[in-house]
Amino acid sequence: MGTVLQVAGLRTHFQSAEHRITAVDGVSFEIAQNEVLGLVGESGSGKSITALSILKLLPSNGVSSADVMQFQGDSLLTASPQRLREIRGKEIGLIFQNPLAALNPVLTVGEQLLETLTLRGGLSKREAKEKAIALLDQVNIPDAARRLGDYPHQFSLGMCQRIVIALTLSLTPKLLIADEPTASLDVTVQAQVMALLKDLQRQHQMSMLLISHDLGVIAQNCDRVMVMYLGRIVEIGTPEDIFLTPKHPYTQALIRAIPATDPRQKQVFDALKGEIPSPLAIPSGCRFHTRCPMAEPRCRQEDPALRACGKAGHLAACVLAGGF
Amino acid sequence: MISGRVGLFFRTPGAWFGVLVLGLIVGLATVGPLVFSVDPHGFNLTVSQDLQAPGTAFWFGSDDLGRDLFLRCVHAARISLMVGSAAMLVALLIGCGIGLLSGYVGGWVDGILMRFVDVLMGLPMLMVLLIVQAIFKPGMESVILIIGVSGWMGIARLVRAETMSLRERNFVLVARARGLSEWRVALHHILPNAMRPVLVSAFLGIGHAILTESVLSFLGLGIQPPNVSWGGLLNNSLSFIREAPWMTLFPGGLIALTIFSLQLVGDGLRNSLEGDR
Repeated sequence: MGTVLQVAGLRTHFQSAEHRITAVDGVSFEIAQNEVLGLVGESGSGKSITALSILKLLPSNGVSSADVMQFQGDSLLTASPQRLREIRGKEIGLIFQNPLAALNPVLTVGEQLLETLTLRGGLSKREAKEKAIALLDQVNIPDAARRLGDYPHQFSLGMCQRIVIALTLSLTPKLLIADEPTASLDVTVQAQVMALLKDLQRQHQMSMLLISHDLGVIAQNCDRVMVMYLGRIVEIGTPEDIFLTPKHPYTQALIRAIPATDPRQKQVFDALKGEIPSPLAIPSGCRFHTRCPMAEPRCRQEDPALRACGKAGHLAACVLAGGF
Repeated sequence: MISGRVGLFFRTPGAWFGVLVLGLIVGLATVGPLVFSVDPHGFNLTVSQDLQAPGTAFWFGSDDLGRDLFLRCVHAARISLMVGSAAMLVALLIGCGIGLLSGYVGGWVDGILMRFVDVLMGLPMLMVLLIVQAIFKPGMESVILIIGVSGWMGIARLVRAETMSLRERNFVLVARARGLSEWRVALHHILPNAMRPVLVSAFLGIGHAILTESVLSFLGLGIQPPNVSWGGLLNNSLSFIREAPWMTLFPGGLIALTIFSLQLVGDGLRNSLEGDR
């Protein structure tokens, strides 16, 4: 399996008048063809910013740099704006959280699909219309031909997300970045949408970067998982590695915080102490030491890099990793 | 109770009245000149018909040349409304273009354009209009252009503000993530979303444009005879204000009534377009 996307040393910061906020601080990872790579972490850990940095769609005060950012052999760092525009949509697709906000409220769903298919897909108006209907059929929108004329607010949230999926997949990207694709949906709809997404991913042989704070979604759908904390990757491994033998205390804490569904099972929630520190005051040494139940004095000074622990491909950034 | 946007519109106080009056005036201005086939500008040489008070013969009275003031007002309505709307259209085009550019591109482009707007807004516009009109040959086209070119700044600011907030919305980000060009995103995704408040403001701006045209014509620098606008009628009435006050009252009243109705309809539009936001 070839590597589709390779990122090394990705750093993104936001510059305001007084502050410089580092949102992503030295993130490196690879996504292989057909692979689903999960990215988990609390809100504010830099997951979405990582995604936007890859597509160079940061807000205007955001600046990102990287040592390597290769997409199928093309460097995204040196790509011209035209080339980037070519890559966006056709090569790398983006699905965002809150599907209703991702659709233009004053354009019909049909207009948005046709626009994408004609301007980006190079189809004629008639071909595009047929394709649009087929796409909506594919994502299980009933009565697709008629509903092309409807506006986003006339659909349910779950349907909107399926429309967004149709819109994104209409250009058959090689890599799909799905940022919290199911976060705003009901649990049952979540399962449907996720199943659809996974199905289409397999069908089109896409790679996927699946961003979520829902460990269940991650565990069920990913080939590999990255855990992110305060702009850094703290652990990478297969779902088995991460969920069965987590090495980083942060990962362990995340997993302990999953509620059990069995009411008879007494559960002591061992939620993380405190909140994620402000990116304005990143702790010295290991970033997690302020909340870590196992912190030692040296954690305040030493900033551990990712290193192998146990199985091949299982990496954790903790001085204690491998020690248990 | 009527629901939806139409309901919201007609629940606005006075919206009914505004639509009724405006409909009547626009209707008369459109159909009137076709129905009353008498040439409104032709002199009436029967001296006894000069400066007749309003009555059954002349509904609005007659002017110093014995012309039917009602017919003159109907013809003038056509010109006033047309000049007002056309000037607003010019202002709308310029304002949307500059506002969109400024809000979407941002940075130094925004800085320069908005300082330019500040400077223009700081100018005593009437003076500038008078000077410009005095230099160029007065005529319908030049009046439209001048009022339009001098009145786009408010719209530009509005469009810019809307654009800046829309630019940060997810659907804009996602449209760009689909690889649509910046032009496409700005014109097809941002502009239509910015149009609601802009349309309301433009509608209200028609009233302002009509007023500006009236002032220009009143000062003799607007529409030139034999064509006449409401402002021109007022100008004409000035010398007879004691003997024939109706020559002032009717055109002046029409200007006031039209602008008042435009306000009422504009308020209704605002409620119906923005009420659900």
